[in-house]
Amino acid sequence: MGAAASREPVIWWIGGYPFVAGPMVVCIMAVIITRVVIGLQAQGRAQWTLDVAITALCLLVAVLWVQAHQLDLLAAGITGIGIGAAGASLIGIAKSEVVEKARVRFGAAVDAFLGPNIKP
Amino acid sequence: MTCFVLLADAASSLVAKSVEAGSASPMPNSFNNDTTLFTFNLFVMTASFFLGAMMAGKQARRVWMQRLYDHPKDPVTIYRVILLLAASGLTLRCGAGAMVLWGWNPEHPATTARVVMAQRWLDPIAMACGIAWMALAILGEPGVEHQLRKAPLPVDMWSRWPALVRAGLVVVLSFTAALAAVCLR
Repeated sequence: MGAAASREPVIWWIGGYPFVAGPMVVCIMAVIITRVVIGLQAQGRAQWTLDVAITALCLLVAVLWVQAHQLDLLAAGITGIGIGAAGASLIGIAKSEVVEKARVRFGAAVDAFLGPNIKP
Repeated sequence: MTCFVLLADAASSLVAKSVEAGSASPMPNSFNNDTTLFTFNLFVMTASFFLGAMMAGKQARRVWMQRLYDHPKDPVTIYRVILLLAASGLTLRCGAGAMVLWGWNPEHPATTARVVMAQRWLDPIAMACGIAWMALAILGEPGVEHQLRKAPLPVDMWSRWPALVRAGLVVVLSFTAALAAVCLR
Protein backbone atom coordinates (compact mmCIF):
# COMPACT_ATOMS: atom_id res chain seq x y z
CA MET A 1 0.00 0.00 0.00
CA GLY A 2 2.51 2.58 1.20
CA ALA A 3 2.55 5.58 -1.06
CA ALA A 4 -1.04 5.23 -2.27
CA ALA A 5 -2.53 4.81 1.18
CA SER A 6 -0.75 7.83 2.60
CA ARG A 7 -2.34 11.12 1.61
CA GLU A 8 0.95 13.03 1.51
CA PRO A 9 1.49 14.23 -2.07
CA VAL A 10 4.98 13.68 -3.44
CA ILE A 11 6.60 16.99 -4.35
CA TRP A 12 9.55 17.39 -6.67
CA TRP A 13 11.75 20.49 -6.56
CA ILE A 14 12.78 21.54 -10.05
CA GLY A 15 14.86 24.68 -10.41
CA GLY A 16 13.82 25.81 -6.95
CA TYR A 17 10.09 25.50 -7.64
CA PRO A 18 7.83 22.86 -6.08
CA PHE A 19 6.00 20.57 -8.51
CA VAL A 20 3.31 18.17 -7.27
CA ALA A 21 4.59 14.99 -8.90
CA GLY A 22 1.38 12.97 -9.52
CA PRO A 23 -0.67 15.47 -11.55
CA MET A 24 2.45 16.63 -13.40
CA VAL A 25 3.40 13.14 -14.61
CA VAL A 26 -0.24 12.38 -15.45
CA CYS A 27 -0.55 15.56 -17.49
CA ILE A 28 2.72 14.84 -19.34
CA MET A 29 1.49 11.34 -20.14
CA ALA A 30 -1.91 12.65 -21.27
CA VAL A 31 -0.27 15.09 -23.68
CA ILE A 32 2.07 12.46 -25.12
CA ILE A 33 -0.69 9.84 -25.48
CA THR A 34 -3.01 12.33 -27.19
CA ARG A 35 -0.25 13.38 -29.55
CA VAL A 36 0.47 9.71 -30.33
CA VAL A 37 -3.21 9.00 -30.92
CA ILE A 38 -4.02 11.93 -33.19
CA GLY A 39 -0.85 13.70 -34.18
CA LEU A 40 1.87 11.47 -35.37
CA GLN A 41 1.22 10.85 -39.03
CA ALA A 42 4.87 11.56 -39.63
CA GLN A 43 5.97 11.55 -43.27
CA GLY A 44 9.68 12.08 -43.59
CA ARG A 45 12.22 13.74 -41.38
CA ALA A 46 10.93 17.32 -41.40
CA GLN A 47 7.41 16.26 -40.41
CA TRP A 48 8.82 14.17 -37.56
CA THR A 49 10.80 17.12 -36.24
CA LEU A 50 7.70 19.31 -36.42
CA ASP A 51 5.65 16.73 -34.48
CA VAL A 52 8.27 16.56 -31.75
CA ALA A 53 8.53 20.34 -31.54
CA ILE A 54 4.77 20.81 -31.23
CA THR A 55 4.58 18.04 -28.63
CA ALA A 56 7.27 19.83 -26.64
CA LEU A 57 5.31 23.08 -26.86
CA CYS A 58 2.13 21.32 -25.70
CA LEU A 59 4.02 19.72 -22.81
CA LEU A 60 5.38 23.07 -21.69
CA VAL A 61 1.96 24.77 -21.79
CA ALA A 62 0.19 21.86 -20.09
CA VAL A 63 2.73 21.44 -17.28
CA LEU A 64 2.80 25.16 -16.54
CA TRP A 65 -1.02 25.33 -16.57
CA VAL A 66 -1.33 22.38 -14.19
CA GLN A 67 1.33 23.86 -11.93
CA ALA A 68 -0.20 27.35 -11.97
CA HIS A 69 -3.72 26.13 -11.08
CA GLN A 70 -2.69 23.29 -8.71
CA LEU A 71 -5.00 20.86 -10.51
CA ASP A 72 -5.80 17.39 -9.18
CA LEU A 73 -5.42 14.17 -11.15
CA LEU A 74 -8.62 14.24 -13.24
CA ALA A 75 -8.32 17.93 -14.09
CA ALA A 76 -4.62 17.49 -14.94
CA GLY A 77 -5.41 14.58 -17.26
CA ILE A 78 -8.22 16.44 -19.02
CA THR A 79 -6.01 19.51 -19.40
CA GLY A 80 -3.29 17.35 -20.92
CA ILE A 81 -5.72 15.73 -23.36
CA GLY A 82 -7.19 19.09 -24.32
CA ILE A 83 -3.86 20.81 -24.93
CA GLY A 84 -2.48 17.79 -26.76
CA ALA A 85 -5.58 17.74 -28.97
CA ALA A 86 -5.20 21.45 -29.71
CA GLY A 87 -1.65 20.71 -30.89
CA ALA A 88 -0.44 23.08 -33.56
CA SER A 89 -3.52 25.27 -33.17
CA LEU A 90 -2.00 26.49 -29.87
CA ILE A 91 0.25 28.64 -32.01
CA GLY A 92 -2.74 29.85 -33.96
CA ILE A 93 -4.64 30.72 -30.79
CA ALA A 94 -1.68 32.64 -29.46
CA LYS A 95 -1.13 34.45 -32.74
CA SER A 96 -4.74 35.40 -33.26
CA GLU A 97 -4.94 36.77 -29.72
CA VAL A 98 -1.79 38.76 -30.21
CA VAL A 99 -3.01 40.07 -33.57
CA GLU A 100 -6.43 40.88 -32.13
CA LYS A 101 -4.95 42.82 -29.21
CA ALA A 102 -2.60 44.70 -31.54
CA ARG A 103 -5.49 45.54 -33.86
CA VAL A 104 -7.65 46.81 -31.00
CA ARG A 105 -4.83 48.94 -29.60
CA PHE A 106 -3.92 50.24 -33.04
CA GLY A 107 -7.57 51.11 -33.67
CA ALA A 108 -7.79 52.88 -30.29
CA ALA A 109 -4.62 54.81 -31.04
CA VAL A 110 -5.92 55.84 -34.46
CA ASP A 111 -9.26 56.89 -32.93
CA ALA A 112 -7.45 58.92 -30.27
CA PHE A 113 -5.27 60.52 -32.93
CA LEU A 114 -8.21 61.40 -35.16
CA GLY A 115 -10.15 62.84 -32.25
CA PRO A 116 -13.86 62.46 -31.47
CA ASN A 117 -15.96 60.99 -34.22
CA ILE A 118 -18.18 63.75 -35.58
CA LYS A 119 -21.05 62.49 -37.66
CA PRO A 120 -22.11 64.69 -40.57
CA MET B 1 -31.05 18.84 -20.12
CA THR B 2 -32.16 16.88 -17.08
CA CYS B 3 -28.78 15.28 -16.93
CA PHE B 4 -27.04 18.66 -16.53
CA VAL B 5 -29.47 19.70 -13.81
CA LEU B 6 -28.86 16.42 -12.00
CA LEU B 7 -25.10 16.76 -12.43
CA ALA B 8 -25.30 20.23 -10.91
CA ASP B 9 -27.26 18.80 -8.00
CA ALA B 10 -24.60 16.19 -7.41
CA ALA B 11 -22.93 18.27 -4.68
CA SER B 12 -25.78 17.46 -2.30
CA SER B 13 -26.52 13.98 -3.65
CA LEU B 14 -26.49 10.68 -1.80
CA VAL B 15 -23.08 9.75 -3.20
CA ALA B 16 -21.55 13.03 -2.03
CA LYS B 17 -22.92 12.44 1.45
CA SER B 18 -21.68 8.86 1.59
CA VAL B 19 -18.22 9.88 0.30
CA GLU B 20 -18.07 12.63 2.90
CA ALA B 21 -19.11 10.27 5.69
CA GLY B 22 -17.05 7.28 4.51
CA SER B 23 -13.40 6.40 4.99
CA ALA B 24 -10.98 8.76 3.25
CA SER B 25 -9.64 6.06 0.95
CA PRO B 26 -7.68 7.35 -2.07
CA MET B 27 -9.60 4.91 -4.28
CA PRO B 28 -13.28 3.88 -4.56
CA ASN B 29 -14.35 1.70 -1.66
CA SER B 30 -15.07 -1.25 -3.94
CA PHE B 31 -11.29 -1.72 -4.26
CA ASN B 32 -10.97 -2.24 -0.51
CA ASN B 33 -7.62 -0.38 -0.54
CA ASP B 34 -6.07 -2.90 -2.94
CA THR B 35 -3.50 -0.73 -4.72
CA THR B 36 -2.57 -3.33 -7.33
CA LEU B 37 -6.17 -3.87 -8.41
CA PHE B 38 -6.71 -0.11 -8.53
CA THR B 39 -3.61 0.45 -10.66
CA PHE B 40 -4.62 -2.30 -13.05
CA ASN B 41 -8.15 -0.92 -13.43
CA LEU B 42 -6.84 2.60 -13.94
CA PHE B 43 -4.42 1.35 -16.59
CA VAL B 44 -6.94 -0.78 -18.48
CA MET B 45 -9.69 1.84 -18.45
CA THR B 46 -7.35 4.63 -19.61
CA ALA B 47 -5.71 2.53 -22.31
CA SER B 48 -9.08 1.27 -23.60
CA PHE B 49 -10.43 4.82 -23.72
CA PHE B 50 -7.55 6.00 -25.90
CA LEU B 51 -7.50 2.88 -28.08
CA GLY B 52 -11.26 3.08 -28.60
CA ALA B 53 -11.03 6.75 -29.52
CA MET B 54 -8.22 5.93 -31.95
CA MET B 55 -10.26 3.18 -33.61
CA ALA B 56 -13.45 5.25 -33.79
CA GLY B 57 -11.57 8.18 -35.30
CA LYS B 58 -9.85 5.92 -37.83
CA GLN B 59 -13.07 4.25 -38.97
CA ALA B 60 -15.04 7.52 -39.13
CA ARG B 61 -12.24 8.99 -41.21
CA ARG B 62 -12.20 5.97 -43.52
CA VAL B 63 -15.98 6.14 -44.03
CA TRP B 64 -15.80 9.86 -44.79
CA MET B 65 -12.74 9.70 -47.08
CA GLN B 66 -14.13 6.82 -49.13
CA ARG B 67 -17.70 8.14 -49.32
CA LEU B 68 -17.52 8.73 -53.09
CA TYR B 69 -16.35 5.15 -53.83
CA ASP B 70 -18.07 3.10 -51.14
CA HIS B 71 -21.85 3.32 -51.10
CA PRO B 72 -23.39 3.45 -47.56
CA LYS B 73 -24.89 -0.01 -48.08
CA ASP B 74 -21.69 -1.61 -49.38
CA PRO B 75 -20.31 -4.43 -47.23
CA VAL B 76 -17.13 -2.50 -46.53
CA THR B 77 -19.09 0.48 -45.20
CA ILE B 78 -21.20 -1.80 -43.00
CA TYR B 79 -18.01 -3.37 -41.68
CA ARG B 80 -16.53 0.06 -40.96
CA VAL B 81 -19.69 1.33 -39.27
CA ILE B 82 -19.84 -1.79 -37.09
CA LEU B 83 -16.27 -1.12 -35.98
CA LEU B 84 -17.06 2.57 -35.49
CA LEU B 85 -20.02 1.79 -33.24
CA ALA B 86 -18.11 -0.83 -31.27
CA ALA B 87 -15.19 1.55 -30.75
CA SER B 88 -17.52 4.42 -29.75
CA GLY B 89 -19.23 2.22 -27.18
CA LEU B 90 -15.88 1.12 -25.79
CA THR B 91 -14.63 4.70 -25.66
CA LEU B 92 -17.69 5.98 -23.81
CA ARG B 93 -17.86 3.07 -21.37
CA CYS B 94 -14.15 3.01 -20.59
CA GLY B 95 -13.85 6.78 -20.68
CA ALA B 96 -16.57 7.06 -18.05
CA GLY B 97 -14.92 4.31 -16.02
CA ALA B 98 -11.55 6.03 -16.25
CA MET B 99 -13.15 9.35 -15.29
CA VAL B 100 -14.60 7.81 -12.14
CA LEU B 101 -11.26 6.32 -11.15
CA TRP B 102 -9.21 9.44 -11.94
CA GLY B 103 -11.76 11.78 -10.39
CA TRP B 104 -12.16 9.88 -7.11
CA ASN B 105 -11.19 12.31 -4.39
CA PRO B 106 -12.62 12.03 -0.86
CA GLU B 107 -11.56 15.62 -0.22
CA HIS B 108 -13.95 16.80 -2.95
CA PRO B 109 -17.18 14.83 -2.49
CA ALA B 110 -19.03 17.01 -5.04
CA THR B 111 -16.55 16.22 -7.84
CA THR B 112 -16.65 12.55 -6.95
CA ALA B 113 -20.45 12.53 -7.00
CA ARG B 114 -20.46 14.32 -10.36
CA VAL B 115 -18.14 11.87 -12.11
CA VAL B 116 -19.96 8.88 -10.64
CA MET B 117 -23.30 10.22 -11.86
CA ALA B 118 -21.85 11.19 -15.25
CA GLN B 119 -20.89 7.56 -15.70
CA ARG B 120 -24.49 6.50 -15.07
CA TRP B 121 -25.64 8.92 -17.78
CA LEU B 122 -22.96 7.88 -20.28
CA ASP B 123 -23.45 4.14 -19.86
CA PRO B 124 -26.84 3.96 -21.64
CA ILE B 125 -25.41 5.89 -24.59
CA ALA B 126 -22.49 3.47 -24.79
CA MET B 127 -24.89 0.56 -24.60
CA ALA B 128 -26.99 2.10 -27.40
CA CYS B 129 -23.84 2.02 -29.55
CA GLY B 130 -23.36 -1.63 -28.65
CA ILE B 131 -26.94 -2.57 -29.46
CA ALA B 132 -26.82 -0.66 -32.77
CA TRP B 133 -23.61 -2.49 -33.69
CA MET B 134 -25.15 -5.90 -33.01
CA ALA B 135 -28.36 -5.02 -34.88
CA LEU B 136 -26.29 -3.92 -37.87
CA ALA B 137 -24.32 -7.18 -37.76
CA ILE B 138 -27.56 -9.18 -37.86
CA LEU B 139 -29.12 -7.05 -40.60
CA GLY B 140 -26.04 -7.14 -42.81
CA GLU B 141 -25.17 -10.76 -42.17
CA PRO B 142 -26.28 -12.50 -45.43
CA GLY B 143 -24.94 -9.86 -47.80
CA VAL B 144 -21.68 -9.28 -45.97
CA GLU B 145 -20.94 -12.98 -45.53
CA HIS B 146 -21.65 -13.63 -49.19
CA GLN B 147 -19.15 -10.93 -50.14
CA LEU B 148 -16.57 -12.17 -47.66
CA ARG B 149 -16.41 -15.60 -49.31
CA LYS B 150 -14.36 -14.31 -52.24
CA ALA B 151 -11.26 -15.84 -53.73
CA PRO B 152 -8.01 -15.07 -51.89
CA LEU B 153 -9.33 -16.37 -48.61
CA PRO B 154 -6.39 -16.45 -46.17
CA VAL B 155 -5.66 -12.91 -44.99
CA ASP B 156 -2.01 -11.95 -44.59
CA MET B 157 -2.10 -10.44 -41.12
CA TRP B 158 1.47 -10.89 -39.94
CA SER B 159 2.94 -8.31 -42.27
CA ARG B 160 0.72 -5.72 -40.55
CA TRP B 161 2.41 -5.83 -37.13
CA PRO B 162 4.04 -2.39 -37.52
CA ALA B 163 0.54 -0.88 -37.73
CA LEU B 164 0.11 -1.75 -34.06
CA VAL B 165 3.15 0.22 -32.88
CA ARG B 166 1.12 3.32 -32.02
CA ALA B 167 -1.43 1.25 -30.11
CA GLY B 168 1.37 -0.45 -28.17
CA LEU B 169 2.88 2.93 -27.37
CA VAL B 170 -0.49 4.13 -26.03
CA VAL B 171 -0.74 1.04 -23.82
CA VAL B 172 2.75 1.53 -22.40
CA LEU B 173 2.19 5.23 -21.73
CA SER B 174 -1.18 4.55 -20.08
CA PHE B 175 0.48 2.08 -17.76
CA THR B 176 3.12 4.66 -16.86
CA ALA B 177 0.42 7.24 -16.14
CA ALA B 178 -1.55 4.84 -13.92
CA LEU B 179 1.57 3.81 -12.03
CA ALA B 180 2.60 7.43 -11.55
CA ALA B 181 -0.87 8.40 -10.34
CA VAL B 182 -0.86 5.65 -7.72
CA CYS B 183 2.75 5.96 -6.58
CA LEU B 184 3.22 9.72 -6.62
CA ARG B 185 0.08 11.30 -5.31
